[in-house]
Amino acid sequence: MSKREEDILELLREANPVDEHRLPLPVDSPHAQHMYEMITGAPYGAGAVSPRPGRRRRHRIGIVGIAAFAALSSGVAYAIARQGVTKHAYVSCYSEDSLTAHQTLVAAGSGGPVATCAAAWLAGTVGSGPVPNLVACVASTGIAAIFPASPGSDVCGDLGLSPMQSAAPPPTEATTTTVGPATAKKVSDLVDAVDTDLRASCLNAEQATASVRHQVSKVGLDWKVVILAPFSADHPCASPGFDEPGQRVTLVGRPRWRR
Amino acid sequence: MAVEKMRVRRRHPEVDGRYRLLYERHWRRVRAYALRRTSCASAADDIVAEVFLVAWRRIGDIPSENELAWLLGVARRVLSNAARGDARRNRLIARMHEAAQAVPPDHLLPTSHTAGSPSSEAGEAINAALGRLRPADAEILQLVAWEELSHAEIAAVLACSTNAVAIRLHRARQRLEDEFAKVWTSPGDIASDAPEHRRAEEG
Repeated sequence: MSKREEDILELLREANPVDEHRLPLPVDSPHAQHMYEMITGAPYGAGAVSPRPGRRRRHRIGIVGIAAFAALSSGVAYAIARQGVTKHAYVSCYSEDSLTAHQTLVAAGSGGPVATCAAAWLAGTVGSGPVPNLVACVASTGIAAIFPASPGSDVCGDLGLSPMQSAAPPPTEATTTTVGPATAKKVSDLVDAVDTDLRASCLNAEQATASVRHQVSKVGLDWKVVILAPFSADHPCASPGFDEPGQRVTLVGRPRWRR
Repeated sequence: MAVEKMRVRRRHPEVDGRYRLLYERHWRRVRAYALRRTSCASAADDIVAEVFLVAWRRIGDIPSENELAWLLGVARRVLSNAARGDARRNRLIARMHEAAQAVPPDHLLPTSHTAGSPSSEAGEAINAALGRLRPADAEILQLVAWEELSHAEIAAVLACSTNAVAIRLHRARQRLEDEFAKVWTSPGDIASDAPEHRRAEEG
């Protein structure tokens, strides 16, 4: 293979729109487990089954190995998510909830990535119609990637991206005058605390609202708690979103995690 | 969603065990494959569900030494069928999109430019070049660069010989280089702040 051919393939590798290592494994994905159960009619939690006792241990080790790998992977993914946006000059606004959708790079504004893309939507440069509900993720390149998504959907997870831990604006001169380090620390603490509470157990809307209000008060912020849509039987557990420009924590229902 | 329509039937536990391991090993890679080629996450999930439903029905036909290639071959056919069904609707959407874009996208916002990849202008250009290739050329390049398959695995996915893979791949690379050169040197398609290596090439 010539050097030029290798170069062009390397460029193509870098343009890979989905880093599969950041997608969840089935053991870590309620969606994958539901799909498995619909196909096989067997509960996912039952694990691999073998009629031969001699093989049972080997399979069990296999499943334990997979679970351990998944736990390690999710730990790595969590670490990546915590890194957050590393490139602040531009925001990537997508017209649909897909990495292959039409995409517009917009110079970051002072209101944060979501507000920047909302303004681009209003200007008609990303998509037509009213500004949709926008969700902030972090692309593998470290740029903020903003997608339209229905409330309650896990668009970042579905696309193999990390959700933005907070919609903190980029560190420009304009923003450092409006959001000081003390506020940023409070927001970060709030995100950590709420995320921990709502991941640890399945809280309904009422319980989650009380829990979030407690954490908001504890860190000393004056944020509201908003339930975006009624929780359903399929999505009984609260999942938080953090809208820093709007100074509110949004709650939507998510499915119950099955391990 | 396709998964909601699945008909469930129980089978021998050992078959279930093999299927479970297959699912654990390859679900993520099949999903990544589908996400790279579909317009939204829900469409990708429909593809994945269909692939694993086929695998469930035909578990005895799946070669144990080449499971992933078999699954991706199914995914490719499922995508192809879905694309045929969507083609008419997409043509209509494309015409509407063209009509709405009377002004070139680069001129809509002075500080923005459209891109296929957020990483760099080169990434943008390579995606544009890929989009100009014939689907068969683009597919074989993606199988190498994105799915990281060997020639033998690609041969299984495309149902052809490894020799044919080598020849097709060589030609596809050349075509990609040609298209990349056109996109990369065309000033209308590239943002003004081109990286250093591009300026070096021009100099």
